[in-house]
Amino acid sequence: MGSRVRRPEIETLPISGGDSLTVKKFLTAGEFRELIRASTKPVRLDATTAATGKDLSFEIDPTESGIAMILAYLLDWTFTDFDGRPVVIRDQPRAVVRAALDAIDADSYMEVQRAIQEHDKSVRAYVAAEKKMPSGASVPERISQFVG
Amino acid sequence: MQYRGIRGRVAAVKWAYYNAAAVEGYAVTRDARNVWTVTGGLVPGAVDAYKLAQRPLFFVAPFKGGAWRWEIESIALLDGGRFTARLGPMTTEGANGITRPTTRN
Repeated sequence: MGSRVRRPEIETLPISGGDSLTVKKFLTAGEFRELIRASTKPVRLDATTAATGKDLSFEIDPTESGIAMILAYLLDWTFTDFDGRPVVIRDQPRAVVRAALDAIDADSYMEVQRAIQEHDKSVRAYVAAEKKMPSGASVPERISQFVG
Repeated sequence: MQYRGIRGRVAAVKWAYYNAAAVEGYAVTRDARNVWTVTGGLVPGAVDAYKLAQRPLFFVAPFKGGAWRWEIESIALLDGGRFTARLGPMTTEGANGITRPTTRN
């Protein structure tokens, strides 16, 4: 059995206009839980629902799940403001990154979201493939090939 | 003899891109042997024991438009939620993330 803990690694996702996004290669369990928490609406369980098994489904908020995934993965970008100054998000609190994401134009936001969703898909495929490989076999270093 | 130091309020001990610990109030000094040392306070509830046990760790002190960064060579947790660490050479990061050796004395 290999290690269940991954070394933190980054990946650069090129997007249009020569810009790029720096993202986490993988999410930890804690980051994944936070992604799920931020993507879903709270579920209320009471004695009746627990006994009958009814209404145990939960709702995913489509707008929040998009930004939750971006916030889970995104570490940095090359975006600048109208004066050419970097829009700094690296090492910034979640609220600052979210505010920066709210400030970019809608097309750019959707491009960022698509790039990170593609990265997430690639990661899942990579992890699935990794589980099928014999222990010690090498897997490709780069997992995302997204170009917006 | 100690050279001019750096004091600040907000900093972090980082492991890769993670905050291993948030720091509130710190002082960095450099002695005559060119050894950098930091002492500071850890923010209760913002210390991740797992990440703090990983290596390499970095002490990162942001300033407007960038950050000073040192690799932590050794770290000791002290009573009262404080810590002290021996640091490697200082580098300076700009807002664009480029890291370069510093000439600050």
